[in-house]
Formats: sequence, C-alpha cells, structure tokens
Amino acid sequence: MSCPAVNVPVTVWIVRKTDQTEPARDAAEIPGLLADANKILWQNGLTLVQSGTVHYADNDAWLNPSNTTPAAVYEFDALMDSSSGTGGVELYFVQTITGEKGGLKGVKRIKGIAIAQDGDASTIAHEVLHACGLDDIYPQITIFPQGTKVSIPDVCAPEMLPSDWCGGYHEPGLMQKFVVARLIMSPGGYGNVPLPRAVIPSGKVWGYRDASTTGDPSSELELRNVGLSGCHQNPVSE
Amino acid sequence: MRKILLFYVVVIALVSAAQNPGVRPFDDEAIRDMLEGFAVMEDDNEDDPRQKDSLTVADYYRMMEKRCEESDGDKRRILDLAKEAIDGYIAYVKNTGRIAIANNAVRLLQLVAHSGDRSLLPYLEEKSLDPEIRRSIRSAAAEVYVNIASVEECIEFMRKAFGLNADKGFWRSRVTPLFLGKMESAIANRSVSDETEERLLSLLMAYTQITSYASEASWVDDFLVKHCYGYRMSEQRLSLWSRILDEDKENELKRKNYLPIREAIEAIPPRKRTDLRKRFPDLPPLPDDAPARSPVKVAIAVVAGIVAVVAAWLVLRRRKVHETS
Repeated sequence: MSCPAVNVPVTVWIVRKTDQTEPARDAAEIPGLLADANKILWQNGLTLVQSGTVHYADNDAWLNPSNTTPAAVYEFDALMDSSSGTGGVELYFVQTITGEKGGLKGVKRIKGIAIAQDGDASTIAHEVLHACGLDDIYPQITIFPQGTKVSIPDVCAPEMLPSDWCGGYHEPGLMQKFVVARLIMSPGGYGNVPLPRAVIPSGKVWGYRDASTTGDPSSELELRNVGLSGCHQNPVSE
Repeated sequence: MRKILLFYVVVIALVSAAQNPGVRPFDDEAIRDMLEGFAVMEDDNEDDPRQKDSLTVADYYRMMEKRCEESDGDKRRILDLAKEAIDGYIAYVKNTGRIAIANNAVRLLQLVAHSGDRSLLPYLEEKSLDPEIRRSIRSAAAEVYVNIASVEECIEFMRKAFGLNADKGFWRSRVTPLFLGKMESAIANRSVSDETEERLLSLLMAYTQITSYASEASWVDDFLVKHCYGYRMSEQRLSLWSRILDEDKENELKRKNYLPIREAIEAIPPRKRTDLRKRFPDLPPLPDDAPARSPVKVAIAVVAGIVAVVAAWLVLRRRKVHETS
C-alpha cells in the first residue's frame, strides 16, 4: 500500500512557569525532535512541518498536567485550548504527565498531543500515529493477579502479519514477539532493555492489545491495527 | 520408604501444578515480570476506552503485596527487585542517552511509593541527590522520599537538596511544594515540636539568602510570611527579592510580582525593619552591611601607622638636633 505524501503542520507550544522561566523543553531541540520523528513517519508518507515559531504557554498549572481528576482534566484542556483549528497537530511540551497508571512520556488527546521531558522523537511519532487512528500493540502481557507474564508464543507466520509476509523477509524462526517489539506502536518494546522501535508495517499485526489482563491472555490476542492500512485520517488536533 | 514418600510428594506437586496452571509461586522471576510489565505499561491514548478501566498504580502495588502475602514471601523482596530494575534503567539511560527509558524508572518509583516502606529512604536519598542521574528520576525519587519520611528527616533531606543548584534548582520544582505542603499540614496538626519548627524556619531562612530560583523562593516566602514572626518586614526578605529582581531586570512578570514586596519593605525606615540574624545566628551578613576588614589589611594598616609615627619622630628629632647645633 502506498500513501500520498502529506505535510502535517505542527503548532509547537512549550509550557513555562507563569513568570516565563523553566521552559519544559529548550526551543532549540524542537527542529531535531521533529526531524527524528519524521525519520519514522516517512514510512507513512507523513512529514511534520513546524508552523511558525515556537509558542510559549506560561502557566504554573500547566507544567505537570494530569488526567486523573476532573479538575486536572479541566486544566489539561485549558492548556490544549491555547490554539485550535490549526488543521494540523498541536504539540505541547510539558515537564511531566501523570495518568492513572503513573507517569507518561506522551499522551494523545483529542485537543492535542502532550510530550513530557522524558519523551523523545519516538514518543512524538507514536502519538502522532495514534492521531492517525493506529492502536497500541504489546509483545507480552501480564496476567493478574498471579503476575504471570506471557509472551506471544509463536514464530512469525503469514497469518500473523498478513500484509507483510513476503516469504523469508523475516529470518526463519524469528519469534513474533520480537517483530512486535520493533513496531513503533509497541509502547515498551520487549525485555528490560527495549529494542529500538520504529517500524510501521503495511497492515495489521498479531499481538496483545493490552499490557495486562485479569482474564485469559489468549483472548487479548488479535490482529492489531498498527499498520499503514489502519491510518484512516491525517493527524489533526481539535 | 523415604524414596517412596519423596516420589509421592513430587507426583502430588506436579499434578497440582498441572491442574492449576495459573498458580505460580511469587518468586523473584514473577516479581521481576510484574515490575517490568508495570514499567512499560502506558495509557497514552485517551481515545482508547479500554484504558479507562485499567488498574491504578496503587491497585497494582496492592496486588503485588497480596500475592506476596499469599505465598508467604517477604514484601521487601518487591522493593529490592524494584531498586534493581530502577538502577538498570538509570544505567541504560546514562549509557545510551535514550531518555524515554527514564520514564520506566519514574514509574517504578511511583509504584514503590505505595509501600510506604522507610527502608527505601537511603536509596531514595541517594538517587535524588546524584547529579549524574536524569532530572525526572531524581525528582520522582525525591517526591517519594518526602512522602515517606518523617518531618525531621524531610528537613535534613531538603537541607541537602537546596544545595544542588546546577540547573538553578529547577529539579526541585515538584519536590519543594510537596515538602512545604507536608510541613504546613504537620504544623496545622501540631505534630511538630517547637525545636523542629525552629530548625525548619532556620533552613528556609538560610535558603532565602542564597537562592536565585524565583518560583521556589516565592513558595518559601509565602510559607515564611505565614509561619516566621518578623519575616514579612525583615531585612532578609528585602535582600531576597532585591537579589532576584537585580539578577533578571528584563523580566516584566518578575517585576510585577516581586517589586511591590521590595518597595513595601523599602518604604519602612531601616531601623524599624526586622533583622532575623538575632534569632537565626547562622544567617549570612546582609549586602548593605559594612564589609568586615580582613585581618591582613588591618595588620598592614597598623604597621604602616607605626612606621609613619616613627618616621615623624625621627624628622622632628633631626630638626631639634639642627636647631641646637
């Protein structure tokens, strides 16, 4: 499948303290981050292009956003209302992001994408692809409450990468979990030392849809929407 | 007979394991699996309805503890292995520069925070105060420290933390409000002795005389105005805001926020302002104090004076000799 090349306008906001100090990110880093994210996104025909100069949002309450309480969500929304209707992606660089499950490197919201200080170019690419309609995929899953972790048990096979299988493109005997760990939509990679993740396959890939379950892990296995065929929209923040 | 018994036990164990494949001893491997599973978990897509139903950090930790209890394990093993994993992530970030992995360490620190276990304190202090470690991890470790430690321990910890200012102290931007909030609650609950409160105020007063970090100074200033009698109109407060305003004269917002404080104190005649050095003797001299003379300069001046007197005496004596001859 081929995608038309699309330039995606990106409005960049860096959050600072109310007194205009402590920017969450050095503005000089932004071009490099976008260039590195583009090295991943080109597989999807996307190029992030910064619109205008960097904007600053000066508000103490926005430096460490969270989506865990209604009051926090209200502030998060207020931050992301800093611009709207840009026709592209709004990137908000903040210090930290707190979700119900702890700290996040990045988060895709309807109003925009927030990137924490620990987020890198892969994080930006991952969140932009969520905005295109792609889902997460995991090579392994933890079963609660036992704490048992199981990995996708199988060796790569055509039915697990129906759009990608090309007879020998993957080394014989390669485990599916290692294929999944290399995908950009795999949040954590595989193992304690995660592999670089950058691949956008052309279609769906067999893998776990979540990192944990309280039920039967095999029911969490499915063909996940992590490839080009699943990109049903250009990334746009409201 | 013993062999038959051993064989019987092994067979029973194997049959039991086969019938209950989900039951797994909560051994080191299981703990590591759960820690790693938690570290990489992300709920980063708000459009995904499944993420709203997922477990919180507290739920996750309680579940691990419960598993430990059920298998008669030591809960501290969870913490030991978490520390091991955090150290692994810290080393990985340091060696590869892949900053995104720092978030795994942050998440594990947030997880172990729910143990409330004080045995973590030395480890947390070490991570917080190591300038080689990435700021997000240090900040997370310091936050957990302040949450777990006693008021007295927090004061001593912040004494060290206030000394680390390579990034102007910005790494404390989440820790200091947490610390001050904890102190505020402790004072409100009357769970702080007069001596401890005085030590706290002494620490904060000393901080005001060295910092250039305006936001943090303003949090500390609010606290001192509320809790330190005489601070509001003190020479030390004037010194703090004069220094911060003078260091960043272009910043309009700082002038808007802090100039009124300086002007209010300047409007008071100097003799009516409070000098808190009597109460806190360790405070440094104020900028307007006459500079103390160095002992060497004093010695040189004394010697020069003596030489001058001797020279004058000699001149006078010579004149007298001339006049008499």
